[in-house]
Amino acid sequence: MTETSTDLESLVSRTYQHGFVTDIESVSFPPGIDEDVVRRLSRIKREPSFLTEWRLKALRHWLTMREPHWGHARYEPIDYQAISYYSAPKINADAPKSLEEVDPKLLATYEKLGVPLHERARLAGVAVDAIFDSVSVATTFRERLARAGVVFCPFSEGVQTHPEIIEQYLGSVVPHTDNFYAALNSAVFSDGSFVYVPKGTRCPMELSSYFRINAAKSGQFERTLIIADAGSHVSYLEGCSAPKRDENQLHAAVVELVALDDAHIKYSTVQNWYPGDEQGRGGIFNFVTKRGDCRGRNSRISWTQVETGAAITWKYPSCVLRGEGSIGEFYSVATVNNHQQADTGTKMIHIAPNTRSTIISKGISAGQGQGTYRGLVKILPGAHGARNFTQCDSLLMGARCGAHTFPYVEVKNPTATVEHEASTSRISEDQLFYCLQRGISQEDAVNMIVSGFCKAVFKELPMEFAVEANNLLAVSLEGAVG
Amino acid sequence: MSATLTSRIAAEHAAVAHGLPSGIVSPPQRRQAIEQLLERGLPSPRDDAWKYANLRSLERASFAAAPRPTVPELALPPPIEGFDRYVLVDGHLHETASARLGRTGGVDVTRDAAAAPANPGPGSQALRLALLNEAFAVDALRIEATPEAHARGIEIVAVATADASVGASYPRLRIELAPGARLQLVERHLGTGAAASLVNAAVDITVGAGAALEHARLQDCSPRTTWLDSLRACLAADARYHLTSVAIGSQSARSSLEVLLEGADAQLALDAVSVADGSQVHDAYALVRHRGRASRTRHVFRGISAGRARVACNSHAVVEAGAVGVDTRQSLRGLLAGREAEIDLRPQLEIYTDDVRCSHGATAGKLDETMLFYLLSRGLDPAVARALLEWAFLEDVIARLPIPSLRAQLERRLADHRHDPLLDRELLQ
Repeated sequence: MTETSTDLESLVSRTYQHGFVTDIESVSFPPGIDEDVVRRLSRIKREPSFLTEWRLKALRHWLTMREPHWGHARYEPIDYQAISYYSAPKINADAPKSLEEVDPKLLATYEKLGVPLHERARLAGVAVDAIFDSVSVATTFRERLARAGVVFCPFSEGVQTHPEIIEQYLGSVVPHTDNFYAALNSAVFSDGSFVYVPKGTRCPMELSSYFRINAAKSGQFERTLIIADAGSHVSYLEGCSAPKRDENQLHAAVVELVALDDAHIKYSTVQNWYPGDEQGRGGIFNFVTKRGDCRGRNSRISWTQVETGAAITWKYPSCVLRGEGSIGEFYSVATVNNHQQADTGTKMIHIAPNTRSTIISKGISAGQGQGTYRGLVKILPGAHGARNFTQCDSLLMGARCGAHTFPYVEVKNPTATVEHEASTSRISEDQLFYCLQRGISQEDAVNMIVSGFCKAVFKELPMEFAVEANNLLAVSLEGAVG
Repeated sequence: MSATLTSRIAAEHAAVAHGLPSGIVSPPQRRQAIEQLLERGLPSPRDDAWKYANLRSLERASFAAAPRPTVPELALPPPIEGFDRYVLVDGHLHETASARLGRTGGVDVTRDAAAAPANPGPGSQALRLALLNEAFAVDALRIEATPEAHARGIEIVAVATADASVGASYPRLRIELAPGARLQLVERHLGTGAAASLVNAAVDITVGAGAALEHARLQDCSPRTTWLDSLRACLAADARYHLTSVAIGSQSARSSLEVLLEGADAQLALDAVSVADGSQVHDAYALVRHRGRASRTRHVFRGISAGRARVACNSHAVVEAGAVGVDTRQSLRGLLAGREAEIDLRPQLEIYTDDVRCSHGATAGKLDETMLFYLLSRGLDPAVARALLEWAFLEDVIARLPIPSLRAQLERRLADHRHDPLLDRELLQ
């Protein structure tokens, strides 16, 4: 305990540590969005015509849509014409072929962030795709993955090397008409990760992407597509950070997962975008659409997320349980402090018989933060014998914060069973008293109780990231303890 | 609901406004209600608070108060001992079937012009239909309980007979409990015949400091009726309000409740049952706002959806900043008893302070197989075993009703509704 508490204590005194700016030459589009911008972006990426057309369709649809405001968040209107929709580190005409060709400043940035791109990667056994502003700068361990038949590359490269797979699956889980931010992303997404795990293959290592927004007045719109073919297994983790700036920056990503028969995808997120300062200035607007399609029989998709950053989060990683006997899981810890606002949760759509889903959500609100769990469990008429269990608990730390729970339970099959439970309270006085009378300081005691509160979610993370998540939690609650 | 419909309502209101009694709602107040309705629009499934309600029949309705009926004989339920009964037929007070107006046993019952305003406050999206009641009501009852009111209960029976193509019923009630008063109130909404009636009720309740209101509501309108209801209540310090609500009838029923626990230590208990079959749609919405310190709420909902019916319940608790020590619990359970039945549950918490204890649970599913197996293993036949378990499911709520004679009536009615052989044969003998 003492070691952990010392760590936490030191962390509590820290503030957002990834808020530096890397001084690096970059190429950016001027602010604004129209068909020319989309065509130019597509041309830079040397995309096939089907993708250019798809982007344009998305843009035309986006122009007909209105920004959603049903989330429990308040913010100034966003001027979408004031955002630059493409920013990339200035590189040679050809993308770097190996880490040695990557700009040393970029590598130094990732070292600062603790993202393993070199030797540390080998030690950690994690393959990393690092994405800086809008483009992928480095992907590790590709040869080893290729030997196993696993494709793990930047999305823009996947478009060149596997256009037929991209054409088949892109937009099949999150169509370009899905929602306002998904439509915007579909029009202007610049890069992201593409993963294909062939039949019967267990991916030999954890896959990881690290997203970094660096340029000012730019947005980040990455798109991730993961396809797990029949009988395969893959675990993927994403992390992110951004500089401290007084302006708000937009991050509108889309993640699509497809699990075929007996496939298993585990998708973990440690979200640490810049949350803004103590007065609520700056911070990332994190408006993300993530959806997994359990398309095959007995397939399984698990979402695990630790959300500690971003000024505003609007995110509902979901599972469409289309294959008979498929399983959807959602494990989430979301913390808000100072003026952060998070409206996050999940959707479990049970379509096929004997599908199962589990939702475990832990919300922690401190300072003047507003945390909302919003979740839908929908059992459609064909989902005989479907089952869902949901537990969402909230912990309040401070008289000015807020914790809100908005579950929707819709059941249209009489053989289904759905159970939902939730509780909201502050830290138990009894638990605190017990720790204090054992000689543990108040800060340590609170950190320990918070850590215990989140244990059910942290145990779902790959081990090395569980440690990172625990540390992040302590940092994000800085100033709330006591 | 379309803008065309609100415009039609405004036009039809203008045509009949001169004939509406100014002693019940003043003409400026009626006009203002229509203006607000035009501004806010009618609810539609796109509104989150109205997602599950079925308001399609409004498109076919005629917007005028139903004329005073000339029904000679009313088939009314047996009276409840110790209660004075007041009968509203199509929104008009039926004087011969009603007890005398005035003051008895510490309770004043009047047709008072001040039996207003069931007017939703700003932002109250859920009570928008109260504006229609305000615009069209032709009668109103005001019930004022003084601290001396201990023994006397009041029963309101609202009967809908007119078809919606002729006009609608707008029952309108204002209940006021002075500090320290006690009142038992029974409110029944019934229908006659096969008419496709439209009922739009508005109830406004004030419970003074230390007062206690025991309120039982039964909605048992005829099968083609559309029943809409807006109830607003405000509780002062130490006030107690227990509402037992049973919904059985109507083709489409929507009940909207907004309760403000304004004073410290105020307590609210909401116990609700909804049983729907065929193609009925029952939607119950409750917004409870805790402003007073250490105020408490318990909301228990039990719904059975059979056939192709839909039963929905939305329980939304808000704890305002500064309302420390609040304790709120929601327990919503739905039972699916039909192959195409639907249950929709939304237990919602919105909390703006840290010193609270709030919890909710929601379940939806079929009868517990283990319990069923146990009963079958004891020799009960499947139909009886199911009926017994369904009965136990509803009794969670019904058993809490503290008016024994009414409870017996409700139990019999529920048994009839579910065609329950065991209850008919044994339990209710």
